[in-house]
Amino acid sequence: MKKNVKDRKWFKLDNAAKLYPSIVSTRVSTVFRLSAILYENVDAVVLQEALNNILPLFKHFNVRLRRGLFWYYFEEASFTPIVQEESYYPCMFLDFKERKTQPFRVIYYKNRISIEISHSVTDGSGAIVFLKAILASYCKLKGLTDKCIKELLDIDFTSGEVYEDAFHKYYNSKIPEPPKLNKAFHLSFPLNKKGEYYIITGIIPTDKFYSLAKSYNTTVTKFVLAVYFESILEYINLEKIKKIKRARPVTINVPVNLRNLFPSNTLRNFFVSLTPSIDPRLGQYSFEEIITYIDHYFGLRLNKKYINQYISRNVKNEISWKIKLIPLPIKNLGMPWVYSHYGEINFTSGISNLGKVILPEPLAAHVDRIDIYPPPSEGNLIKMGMLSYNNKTCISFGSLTTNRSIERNFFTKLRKMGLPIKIETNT
Amino acid sequence: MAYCPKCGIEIDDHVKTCPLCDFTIPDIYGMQNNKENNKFPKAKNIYPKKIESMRNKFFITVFLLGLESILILAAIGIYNHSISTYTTGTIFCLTSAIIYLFLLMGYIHSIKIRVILFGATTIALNLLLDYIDNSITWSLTYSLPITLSGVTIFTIMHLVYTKSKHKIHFIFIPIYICIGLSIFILIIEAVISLNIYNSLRLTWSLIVFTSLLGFSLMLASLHYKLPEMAKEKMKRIFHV
Repeated sequence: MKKNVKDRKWFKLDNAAKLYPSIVSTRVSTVFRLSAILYENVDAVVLQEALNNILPLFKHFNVRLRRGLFWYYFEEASFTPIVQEESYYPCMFLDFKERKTQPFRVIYYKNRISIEISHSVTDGSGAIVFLKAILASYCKLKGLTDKCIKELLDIDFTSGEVYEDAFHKYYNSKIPEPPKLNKAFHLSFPLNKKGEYYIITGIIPTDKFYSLAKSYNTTVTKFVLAVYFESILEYINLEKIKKIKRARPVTINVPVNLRNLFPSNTLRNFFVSLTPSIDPRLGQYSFEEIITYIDHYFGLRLNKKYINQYISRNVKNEISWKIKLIPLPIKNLGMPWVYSHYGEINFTSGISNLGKVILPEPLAAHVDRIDIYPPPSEGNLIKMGMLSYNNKTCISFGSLTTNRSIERNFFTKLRKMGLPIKIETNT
Repeated sequence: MAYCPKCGIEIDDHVKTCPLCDFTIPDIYGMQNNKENNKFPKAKNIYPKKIESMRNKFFITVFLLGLESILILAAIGIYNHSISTYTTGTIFCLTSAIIYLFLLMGYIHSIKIRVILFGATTIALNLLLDYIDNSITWSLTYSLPITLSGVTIFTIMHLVYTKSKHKIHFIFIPIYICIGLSIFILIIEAVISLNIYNSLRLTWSLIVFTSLLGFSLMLASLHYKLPEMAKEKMKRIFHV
């Protein structure tokens, strides 16, 4: 039944989300995908029912985007999204500015359940909770477990904390802004046709991966980052990119989940980006040198004091009256430039690591693998997403180009280090 | 489970070429054509669907606005018991504009048919506009030959271009446009001079013709490069 305006809840977009609706285009969908691969084929009817059951718990997911005079906002949707069989390329354009579209879709294909969700709603950590809830509800309806969602997921959905904008909670106006970044090296590959997005996933045994990273006295994220840096640097050296303009520093955007540093149960965006950078003009780097640099980089920056500068900068920009009072249509015109100029132009690529995902025991028995696909981006043609579950680390490259040099370099390096890899691709 | 014999990675059974090293995977167990093994569906592209929906919205809006304007003009005419020549001309132009828009928005896939219909609409519009004063004059002497020659030149150029299968479009499309335009301009001046002076007098069109052809030749030479001798000579003449 349709509710009155008064009865429909509304939510301000969180600090990070405010940017995304303005930059959405056919290529830059801002949509990322999380998939769970089950041991048996998905029952679409049960999946729809499972989604219907959990939506009341995720009030700020089941929304539609509305236009305010100065900002977009989310309003509770009075309709239910329909589960669809996968038919398009992953992470494709989601027209959630339209009236009857939520900022996420739930799709299935054979034994895979996927959620594709706009970054304007949540980040990877929030999306993982949403996926877990769908899986819990699905397994309960299929009779695979008798425990309810609240027993399986240790989250108090009634608390307002799940909807909070944690950036504002930890904002301190006295903290100065971090130093500005320099323009980064960009891969000058030709673009795919509009509407096409290529994925290459490497599946690696987690225990062997962790052992290998440990042999270099580092963590898996830093190890992957080092291999990725080396792959890009190798490409630059092989292609003999000598022009100074093109041989800028290689900078990787690494989103950091702030929930580990600043306690919060929010299911909305709560991350900032750290940007380790290596300049190929300074000379050749050995793998050990890259690892040492990354270790030191994160050692200096991955702490509350340093990160607070980023929170401060982001919130300061949002609460500035000069920016607040700019009408939304003008913001929409300027935001893509701001995103490109202050964001993507300063990164060569990005790595999102969701870390180790743990499912409650009754669910884990029915889920073989979990994958993450990064959102397509025109500024950073290739991006990487990774997570580990069930002793399988899935590293997925999302690419808006047909050139596979970087992915090839990356996986070939891991293979040469003795890691067994299974490659899956949608091309 | 299939493995790439060259780089050693594991791949899905249906994969024919290694995604890492491009090595052709031998189909030992005949599994490569089994679509059941595919992890992804044959993906559709969401973009054309979006473009089509936007195109339809735009065309329907313009069509309805055009139709409403025609009806309003006709209603005013009926109310006043006479439709002025200005109103008649506007109705003809609006109708043609809707047809032009329909053709430009690509609802008909064949370019040849689109161009022929474009030409036919132009001829019909000009004849009707000319007939408003109950006599047909300029539409037959000026409009008809110019439109027909324009359509013919475009069709021939398009035919030659598609047959030639050029790969570098940004060089060859301007070349073909320039050649076509230079011939078309000659014809325009020929038609005008034949009607005014009853004889063929070509002046300004020859200047345009030479300039456009020169530009085409320059583009073509950029593509095909100058012969070594000419290059050497140029180097000596323009050395700094």
